[in-house]
Order: sequence, then structure tokens, then C-alpha cells
Amino acid sequence: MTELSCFHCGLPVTDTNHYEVTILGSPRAMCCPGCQSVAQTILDMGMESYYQHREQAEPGAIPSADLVPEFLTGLKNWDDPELQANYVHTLSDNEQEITLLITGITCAACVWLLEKQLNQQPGISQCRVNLSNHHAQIIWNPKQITLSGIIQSIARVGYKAEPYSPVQQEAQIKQENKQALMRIGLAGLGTMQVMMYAVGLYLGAFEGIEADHQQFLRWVSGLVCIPVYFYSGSPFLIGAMRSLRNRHLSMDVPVAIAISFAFFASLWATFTNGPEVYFDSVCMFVFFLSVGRYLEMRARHRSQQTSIRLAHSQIQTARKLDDNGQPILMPAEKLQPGDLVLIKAGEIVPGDGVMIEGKTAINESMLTGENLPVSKSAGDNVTGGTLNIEQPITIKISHIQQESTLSTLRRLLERAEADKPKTFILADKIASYFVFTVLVVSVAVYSFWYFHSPEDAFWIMLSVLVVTCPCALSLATPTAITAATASLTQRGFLATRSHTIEALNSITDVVFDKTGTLTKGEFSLTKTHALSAQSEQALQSLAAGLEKASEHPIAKAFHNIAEPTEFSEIEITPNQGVQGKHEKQLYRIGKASFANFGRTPIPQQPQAHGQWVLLANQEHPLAWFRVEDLLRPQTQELVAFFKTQHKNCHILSGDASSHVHEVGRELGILNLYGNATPDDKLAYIKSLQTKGSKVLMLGDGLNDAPVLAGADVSITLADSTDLAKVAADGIILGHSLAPLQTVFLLIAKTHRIIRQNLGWAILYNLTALPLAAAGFIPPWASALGMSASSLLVVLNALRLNR
Amino acid sequence: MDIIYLLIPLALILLIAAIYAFIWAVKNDQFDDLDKEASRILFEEDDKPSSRQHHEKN
Repeated sequence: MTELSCFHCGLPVTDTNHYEVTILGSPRAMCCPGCQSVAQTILDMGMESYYQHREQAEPGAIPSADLVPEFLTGLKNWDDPELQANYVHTLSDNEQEITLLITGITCAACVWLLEKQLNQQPGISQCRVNLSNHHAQIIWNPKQITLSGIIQSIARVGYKAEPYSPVQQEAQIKQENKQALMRIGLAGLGTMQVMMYAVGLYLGAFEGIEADHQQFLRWVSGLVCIPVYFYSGSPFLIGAMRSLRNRHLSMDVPVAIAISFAFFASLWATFTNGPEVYFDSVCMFVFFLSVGRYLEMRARHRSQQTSIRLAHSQIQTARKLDDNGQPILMPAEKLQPGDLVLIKAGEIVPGDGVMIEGKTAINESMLTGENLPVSKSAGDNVTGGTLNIEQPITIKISHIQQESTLSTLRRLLERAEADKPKTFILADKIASYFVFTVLVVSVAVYSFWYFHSPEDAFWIMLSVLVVTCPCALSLATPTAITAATASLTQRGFLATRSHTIEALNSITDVVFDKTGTLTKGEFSLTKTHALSAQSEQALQSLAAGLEKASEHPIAKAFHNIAEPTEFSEIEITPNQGVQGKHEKQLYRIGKASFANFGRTPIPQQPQAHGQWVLLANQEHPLAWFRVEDLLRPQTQELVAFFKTQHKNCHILSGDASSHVHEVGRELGILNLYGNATPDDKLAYIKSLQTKGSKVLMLGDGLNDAPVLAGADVSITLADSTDLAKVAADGIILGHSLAPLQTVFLLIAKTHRIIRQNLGWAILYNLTALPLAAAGFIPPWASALGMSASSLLVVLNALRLNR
Repeated sequence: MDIIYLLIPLALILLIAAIYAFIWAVKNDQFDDLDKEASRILFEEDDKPSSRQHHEKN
């Protein structure tokens, strides 16, 4: 049976209800009413060609449309001028400007759709959506449309928008990008000119040219070459100088030596009427290499921008209580110690503090990895970033934001990042041998010819330097890495650091975090054990009816059961369970001691291990339910794959050990470590590294962030916490660990291609070197050889994109 | 071939103008979003429901 997937968002259609929209002439299945209404809106606005031109995204990459209503509830807050103050610029009375960050953009068709939709709204005078950083810049008239109205109209076509202020890093990316473009532009235009003069000079060499004309062409070539060498070539010159100062030979060194020798020798030849000028080679060389570097930089920037976007934390609002006890909305970062804050059920705690009023359960899974909530009452400490689950509470803020627990974790992360092991880059290793060899050979060639034919010695040495110009060698690795990065992004894996791809190849140990990484981090109902005569279905709908009222992670396991029973007088006891009335009978569900109405003995639990929940009425117990945090799909195959690759697997977990052993047994992983704090985890990784292992860490929580930063390579998932995404070297863009297998196969292929490229480049240089040393290679042949060898390297790397 | 003494300096002036224009374009964000502009041509601008009705009338 082929699985039907939603035509709009690509998620599988599981619901038996049939949602359908006719798009591009035939009926298309939709997964939910949300996608249906979005698709219908797109059609109604006459923007059907969106579906014609968009690229099919990974399932789940577009935010599921049914999430949108939930996000829209807090939207009206954005019309509050206090909150707007940081994001909105007022241009004039009738014009305001804002930058919105848009989630869900996957291709140019999305951008077109958004621009079209926004330009049709009355009151919006200008709107520009940028595909590479997903920013929308909007100018609107506040008298005709509100900010929340704009965000809502974006939500109607299925995207989520949030006010945004660009971070420093983005300004830097933009600056770097512009500078690189100007360098390439100058080198390109300069090369065209100099090549033209070179044609004249070459033809002149064959057919004769007046000495004055030759001299003039040389002077002009030199003139055009000066800015190309000094401006466009400066990254190579500066890079080479830096690496010499650090006593380390990088790829920039041979590049800088080749262009500098060729440039100054040509200048010398122009002044002294020497035999040959190489201005065309210098320009072409700088141009080719700049283009190569630019493509590499763009791939890197794109990954960086995606990770900035993913790590962008939602703007948090807090309800501060004023002197009269009335809540006022304000940004959480402006809270001061001593402020009283109201936190409703289902909201995130805005800062560290002490509970003053209320009784609730708080989910601290982002700190501890334990996904069962902790009971809190007045006087207990609560941590910023944790989730209030059951009842509204009031807390008194105790620390300012910069000193909160989250910031402490962040500092731990920075420290771990500072002593992250360096990855050794193969190309640099080869470059250092290469530079050394070329220098030795050039000196040898020069001294040999100096004794045989002193006037040719310098020019032959120069042609050795030009012919061995490491163009292909220096393009070999970056082109392959660029192609691999693009290819991996298409397959649902985002490499966010430059060394990720190089480093992944040498991994020997894989360390998994348990909750939220190996497992889904949410409970599912896996077994019903009846203690009375009622059917399983009847018992489940009783349980679902009671648990409907609770946001406790265990209660959520019951939320998707069809037809829950109606209950009245529902009462939630934090971390114990729920009570409700149905047909004059009281029912309870939850911990056995609570649910059994205090009766003893408590009925025997069917099995020793696992999480069991009891359902009972006032007279007798009714059923046991088993809830489990299930493994993510295809995790078993992944672990089996790592075993065939001879990589050791480990599990590190922050929560109680018994479940760690169960998961370990299920997956066949022997190295288990439970109850670990962030410090313990970091120490564990360090001890593996001192034994010489290269560690890949997979984690998702706040508490994993320092370990992620300390591991040789770290990978996290798209639904992880922001801090984890900042710390990780790579992000899996879906909800399953399965893409990792493809990633490892592709990385192996990438390294094969890098090795082929380097092999070819070295072979070419080794063949050309003796010929040049013997004085057989004219300048045009060396230029041709250089281009051909570079082209071959680039084409080989492009094989990765198929 | 003495004409090159005139033509090449003229070409150099054009070169300077071209470089200047390019730098101006880069600084004015003309190359800000290369991916979007590449596929802009694919989208029909007059795809609005209003214009469609207009076609039907004809």
C-alpha cells in the first residue's frame, strides 16, 4: 500500500476523514482542515501557480497548518505599542516599517506567494521577502491595517511570522557577501580586458609585433592587473601571511607565492623588456579562485543563516502584576528581581524565581532530560525556560536574566566550545608538503639553469611556479564540501559549521542522549489491562475523558483517543491525577495511591517495569494503562547501521537509570549511563576523547548543549531547544534519526571524491613539473593545463549533487 | 596599428565605468537575494482572479 501524503505540506494523510481540494485540475488529498483552508485561500487569491513552481519540501518542513491557530491566540499582544517599541520603526504618520522572520519558506514559490498575498492587503505599501534569510520587510499604514492583521494574513496562506531584529552575525554575513562580490566583479572585468591584450601579445609573438606596441600592451595589462592583484587577490595574500606567522603552511601559501611571483616578475619584465609577461595568468588565477571561494562561502552562509533562524528564540512575554495586582504584558527580558509575575497553565516560566502562590506541576525536561513533571508549591524555586503545566501560579523573580540558570548553562557551553578538539583538514596537510616540494624544486631548477644558461634561469623557474600553480589542488576540497553541503541539505541534514563534513568521516564513537533524541520525548498508550468486565474501548474512553483536562505529559498519551466520555466537576491534583463525575459516579485516574481513593490493597501491577496508570471509580479499580516514551521511528536500523560501520554506541541520559537500561536492551547498546548532570555528560565525553576516540554526540535538550559543544561533532534535531541548535555542528531537519544513515554514506562518498580530486591535482602537477623544469612549456600551454585541471576537479565534485 | 593608442584608453574608461556600475549595484543590494530573482520569471504576474474574469469576457 502506498502511503498517501498531503498535497500541501507533505505529511502523511492518516485521518480517515477525507479532506480534499482541487488544485491544478485534479483533486488532491489534504491531511487536516488547516492545510485544506490554506490551500483554498491560495486558490481563492488566484495564486494557483504556487503549486506549479514550488519545489517539493521534506515532509514536516512546512509548519503543519493546524499549529497556526494555537500560535494566533497570543497575536493581539503585538498591537500593544509597548511590545512594538523594539521592532517597529515609524517612518511617518502613515508609515511604519518592520522586519518579520517567516517560518516555512522552502523555495522561490513561497516568496512569490507571500509577496503576492501581502501586496493584495489594503494598507501595505511595500513588502519584500528575502529567500536566503527568510526576512520580510514590510511598510504599512497603521490606520488601515494592524500588525496582528498582517501576521494573520501571512498565517492564512500557511506561514508563521514573528517580529524580528537581525542579529550581529547576519550583518556580518551580508558585509562579507558584498565584499566577495565586489572582488569577483573586479577580477572578472579585469580578466576580460587583460585576456584581450594577451591575445594581441601572443599573436604578436607568432607573427611579429612592433616593439612599441608590445611595450604599450604590456603596460596597459600591468595597469589593469594592479587592482586585481592588490584588491581581489588580497584575501589570499593576507591568508598566506597569517599562516606563515603561525608557522603553518596552508593552501593560501602556494597560491600567494604563485600570483606574487608571476605579478612582480611580469612587472619586472615590463620595465626591463624581459621575455614574457604573465598578467593574464595572474588575473585568471585570482578570478577562478575567488569564484571557488565565493561558492564555498555561500554554502556556508546559507547553513549559518538557517541555524541563526532555527536558533532564534521566540520573543517571550511575561504577565507582570502591577501594584493593584493587575497583569500587564511586557517582554520577559525587562523583568527585574522582585517583580511578581503571573504564569498561566501551559505557559513558559519567564525567569528564575520563587513561587508565592499556587500549586502546580512543572516540566523541567529541558533542564534535566526527565520528561515527568515535578510538583511545586509556594516557597519552591522555579527556573526560567521550564513549562508550567497544571495551574496558574504567581512567582517572584529572584535573578535578572543575565544571571539566571539558563545563562549559567550558556557559559558552560561557551567553555566547552573553547576546548573543542580541532579537526585536521586533509587539504592543509597536503598543502604543506606541496609548498615545501615546489619551493625546493624551484630553487633547484633555478640553480641548475643559472650554471647552464643564466639569462633563462629566472623565466624557467617562473614557469615552474606558474605551471604547478595549485589551482586544482586548492579547489579540490572546497568544491567537494560545497556540493556535499548542498546535497545534504536536500536530504534533510544541515551542516552548520565548516568542519562538520570533514570531521564526521573520522568518527569512532556515537553517543546518544535518551529522552527526546532516541525516544520521542512524549508518552503513548501501549497497553490496556482491564480489571473489570468493561471492554478495553469503554475503559479507554473513560480515561480519555478524564485526562482531556490535563496537560501532564502522561495525560497527553490519552488525548488522541476517539470519543472521550463526558465528565463534570473535573479536579486536577498536581502530579497525582484527575478526578471527575460521570453518571453520578466519581472516577479517578493517575498514580495508584491517589486513583484507588485511598483504598488498600492497591491492585497488583501487571508487570514490574514501565509506567502504569490506574483508573478506578468509587467502588473498585477498573483498569491499568501502560504508557511509554516510544523510540523515534527507524532508530533501531540506525543503531544497526552504526554497528556495521564499527562505531561504538553509548547512551547518556539525565533521567532515572531503569528506563535507560530498557532502551539500551531494546537497541542492543551496552554502554549506558543514567542520572547524568550536564557536567557528568561532558566529563564522560572528555574521558572517551582522552582514549583517542572521535565522538559524535546526538542530543536535543538544554542540558545537552555543553556536551554538544564539547564533542568532536554534534548533531541535533529540528525540534530541539534553541541552545542545543546553537551548540550543534549539524541539524537534522525532520523528526526521525533516519537521515543520518544517508548522511554517513554521502560523507564517505564525499571523502572518496576529495581524495580523487587531490590525487588528480597532484598527478597533474607531478607530470607538468619536470616538463616545465626542462623549459618545454610555453605560457599558453601552462594556462590551458591549469584551466583544464581545475575544470575536471569541479565537475568531479558536482557528481555529489546527483 | 597606432589606433590602439586611442582605442585602448577609451576601453579603459569604459572598464572603469563598468566597475563603478557593478560596485554601485552591489552596494545597493541588487545582488541581495540571487535565488529569488532566478525563478521570478516563472511566475505569471497577471494570475489574479480579476484578470481571469477579464479574459473570460473577451
